[in-house]
Amino acid sequence: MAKNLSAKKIPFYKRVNLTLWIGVAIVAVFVLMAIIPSLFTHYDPDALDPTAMLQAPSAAHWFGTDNYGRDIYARCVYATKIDLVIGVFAMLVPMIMGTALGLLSGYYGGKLDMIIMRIFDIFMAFPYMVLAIAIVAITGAGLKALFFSIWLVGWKEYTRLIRSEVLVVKQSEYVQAAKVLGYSDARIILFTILPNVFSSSLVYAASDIVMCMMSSASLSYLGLGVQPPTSEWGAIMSGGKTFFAQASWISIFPGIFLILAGLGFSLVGDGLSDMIRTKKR
Amino acid sequence: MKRKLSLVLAAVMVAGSLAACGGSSQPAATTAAPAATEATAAETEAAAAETEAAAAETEAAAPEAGGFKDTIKFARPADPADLDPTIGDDTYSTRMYHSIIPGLVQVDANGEIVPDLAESWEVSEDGLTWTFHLRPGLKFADGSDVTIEDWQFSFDRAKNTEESYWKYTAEPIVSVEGDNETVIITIAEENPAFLAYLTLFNMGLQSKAHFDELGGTYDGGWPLGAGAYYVTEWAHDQYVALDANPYYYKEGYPKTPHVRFETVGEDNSRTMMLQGGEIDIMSDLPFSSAAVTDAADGVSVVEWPSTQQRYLVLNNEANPAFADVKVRQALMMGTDFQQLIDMCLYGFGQKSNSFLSPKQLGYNTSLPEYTYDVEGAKALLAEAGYPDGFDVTFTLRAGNALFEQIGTIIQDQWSKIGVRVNIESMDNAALRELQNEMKLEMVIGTWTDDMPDPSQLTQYLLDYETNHGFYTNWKSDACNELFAEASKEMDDAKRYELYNQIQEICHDEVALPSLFNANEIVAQRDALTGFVQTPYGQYILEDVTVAE
Amino acid sequence: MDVLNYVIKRILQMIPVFLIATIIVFALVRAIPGDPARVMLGDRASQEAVDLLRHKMGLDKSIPEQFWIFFKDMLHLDFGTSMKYKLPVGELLISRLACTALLALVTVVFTVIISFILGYVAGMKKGSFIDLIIRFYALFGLSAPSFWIGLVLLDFFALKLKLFPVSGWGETMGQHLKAMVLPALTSAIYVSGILIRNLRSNVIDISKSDYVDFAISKGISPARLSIFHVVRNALIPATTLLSLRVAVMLSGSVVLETVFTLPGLGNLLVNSIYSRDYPVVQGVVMMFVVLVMLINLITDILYSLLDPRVKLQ
Repeated sequence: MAKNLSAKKIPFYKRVNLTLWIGVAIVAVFVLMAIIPSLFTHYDPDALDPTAMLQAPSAAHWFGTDNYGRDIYARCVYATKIDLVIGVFAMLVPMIMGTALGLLSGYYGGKLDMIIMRIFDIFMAFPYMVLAIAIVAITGAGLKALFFSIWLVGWKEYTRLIRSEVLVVKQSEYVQAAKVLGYSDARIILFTILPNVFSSSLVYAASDIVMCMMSSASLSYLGLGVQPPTSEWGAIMSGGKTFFAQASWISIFPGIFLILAGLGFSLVGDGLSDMIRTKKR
Repeated sequence: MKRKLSLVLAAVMVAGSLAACGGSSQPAATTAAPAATEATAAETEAAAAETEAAAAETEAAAPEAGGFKDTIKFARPADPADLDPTIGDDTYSTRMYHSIIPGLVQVDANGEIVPDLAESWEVSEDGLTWTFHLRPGLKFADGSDVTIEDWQFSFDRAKNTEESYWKYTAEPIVSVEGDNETVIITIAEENPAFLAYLTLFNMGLQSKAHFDELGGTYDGGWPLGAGAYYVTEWAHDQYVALDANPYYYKEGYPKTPHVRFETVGEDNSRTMMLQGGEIDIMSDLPFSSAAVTDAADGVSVVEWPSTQQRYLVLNNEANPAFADVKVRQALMMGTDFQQLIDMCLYGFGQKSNSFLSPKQLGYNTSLPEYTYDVEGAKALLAEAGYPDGFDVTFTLRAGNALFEQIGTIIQDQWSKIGVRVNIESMDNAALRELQNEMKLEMVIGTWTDDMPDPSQLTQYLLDYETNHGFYTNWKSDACNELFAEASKEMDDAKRYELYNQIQEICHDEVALPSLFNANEIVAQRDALTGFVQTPYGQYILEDVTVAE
Repeated sequence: MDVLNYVIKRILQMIPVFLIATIIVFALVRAIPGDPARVMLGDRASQEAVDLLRHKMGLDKSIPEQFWIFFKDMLHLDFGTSMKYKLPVGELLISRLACTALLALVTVVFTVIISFILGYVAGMKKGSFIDLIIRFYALFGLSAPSFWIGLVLLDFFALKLKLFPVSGWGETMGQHLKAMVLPALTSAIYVSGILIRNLRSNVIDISKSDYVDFAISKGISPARLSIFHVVRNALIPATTLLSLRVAVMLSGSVVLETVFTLPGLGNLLVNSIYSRDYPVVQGVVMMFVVLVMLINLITDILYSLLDPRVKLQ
């Protein structure tokens, strides 16, 4: 276990808190919705119904209908699976990659830092749109393009966040002490530095999950995101733009699902980071 | 505030009867437009129709009468791509040309060919010499005189700009002679469509001196003509500003001294600007918003007939299933066209049984419809060897809401007959590249006619070398022969009979099935009157006034 | 002296980055399917016409040859002419950048105000009802699509109250600033959603740390300690995120520029990619490389200023 010299001595498992529980509960509901959507609605999300186009929310259609007469609540429910996948997996890869790069770059400094930072500059120079459209041209529109474009672009925040905190932490007493004690670099990085800087990543990761789902909305806005008839919260929202004047509910309700899912993940993120957080500096 | 379609058409049909004496299409109700001197009977009729049609305004004629705005603000979703009339043939360019570079003749609101810069004309017996009598004292907007060199320059450009798709229309021209009052055009052989060609924008009169001043190119600039307006400024992706031509041949016109075409990409913003009075008229209103917008105070939605069609382009080179005519017919039977029209057009369009638009001359009205019959479609597919249906990739232009709708609906409809449609969106440049290489199985084709003649589209469809049958890989020697005959046939009745036969063949073979013919809608403030859009997509702005 | 050396070192590093990025974008745009000549000539153009135009524009030369021509021109500060607009690229970029940069500036001002205040309050009052409301607002800002917020703001403040223009960005500086308010607010709502969470988390960290205990033990009053020290130390991660967002903002936002009809870089970029307007796409990326490196440089220097423990490396 980590020998953190000035941590309060509360065993790890006891640090689990209320925030974490509520967050997990919310996420669990969404996971259930993703696995068994028919539990939550009896409508077929892809069924066109020309007699029920653009209807306002009512008892029959809780979230109203879209311009094809499809029930929006049903589409939101069935969209949960894709959105959870997008949110978690699109976020995970950049988070791991970015954190690792930030640790290395900040800790070792020198040439390694310079190279990583300059590569970083090159990636940043390409606006998201250029990359997204180029990727779509190669992989075709849809989920693959979404994942690749987010992976290519999303690691930057983590790298910079972690690197900047590492720059501070590596000057601290216990890191110096650990070096004096002869601990290996890997041990120092993983067990001394990482726990102290990781909460930044976690907090950002929760926002990132939501941002990944919103990236899907931006790609859908250009028509290059998930393809019809697949339902996905961001795609439903951006599709609702055309009907903003007469059917604003199309864009509002998927947003509510997004906020709730985001809330669940952010509570989990906050809860986890409370657990990891120790007195430091 | 009701849809003004019938009223507008009524006023316009009366105007059409006045058109013979030269002039544009809306009657000046109270004072005389000096050029029009016709029978008073027609004028009183016009006045009556006008007062009926107009809601509140009466001073339609006097240009400087108090209480009128001095600028027409017209919002559209995109900038013109290029104002070079031989190249710029996108919607936002073509609509503007008539106002700045009119030609010898024009199309009026009814689709009839009527005089423009030429007052009258004759054709020689052999059909090879066309003599046009110009209006006296024509000048360009900068005050310079129109000379025969300018006409020669304009037709020469139309014919010899190598990259221009439109040069085929000027191809027949052998020589352009004349003087400041007459233009004599000699063509190589008799051509029934030649007068229609002359209404096209690439045949517009442009000032040679202006072109030379710009350095021999319209790049970064625009043409100078003898129209009601001329371009003064173009801030790309923001607006195009036009001023009234002080030397316009029609006294007292245009009625409003300035026009500003604003580029506003977002449909909702455009509509808000209209409702708030920041603009006076807008195009490209989504059909789904028409009812809501019309119901708002001070704003009306006006419907204009258009030849615009959308097609299903079935490429049998990329998907062999399409090679069998039975499969194509089965797909027609498996498509509920009425549902498409209802859900996509909200009533602003109609079914078309031919590749030609129902609004175009020569449309074959006796073609049978394909009735919606799911069981029949499945049976026919089985007969053709596809009892379990087949898969199709439907490639759509990304970011186009109408195309996405069509895609989603077709996907749903065809799933019932066992055809599994997989939608893929692609950005337009990539799509056109792949389409050109005949690699796309199915796309949505679009076409709007630019002149009143069926030859424009027919020629394109049958030009296998250039576009492989509108990218379907379909061809028909029979049709090619019929078309060759029709291109020389000067008798209208015989000519349209030939076109009828062509359309029958295309219908039976499902060469290029039409999804629908859509009209166009424009939303305008009630304070604006006099706007006309011809069925071939020209804006006529000289009569427009906007009350304060 | 140290700082100056550092700056010079960084500027020297910019050169290879600039070259690499330029080569990448040059090759990338030409590798994507789609032909600018075909786009320019419209839907009905024949292959013959397209080939003719390609030849006129020099697109049928080999890529290395095209690059060499481009490179030579660049040394004379000629960045080419836009194939779509027929205007010099440099001119086009600068006018669009002006609009986008102004929007970014106003957005940063709004964002800083909103997120620092809310982030600080939420952190200091962790666990309270106010904390909950603020965190909820942050989530909302993140998840609500910006076109939706933008249209709602337009509908209320521009259409109904007529306080701001519905579209365009005006002619004078005063009009520009007025036109920026609603779009900047829309953007700030989103960005502050990101910043607030991290700020709050940092404020919580700092308020529990040794450093703060130590300061208190030295007799520095809690009030003075509170705002100054806590905020100053939470600034580093906030600066990181904000500087990254500024770089993103400078590439323009298609959604915002479309909804508010602003002549910015976002629309220019997307339109240029759609038309395969190579000179413009290249020009934007090249300009961006320089801007981004400058921003990163400034950020790194800021780190060392904000926290003396950070050494420039």
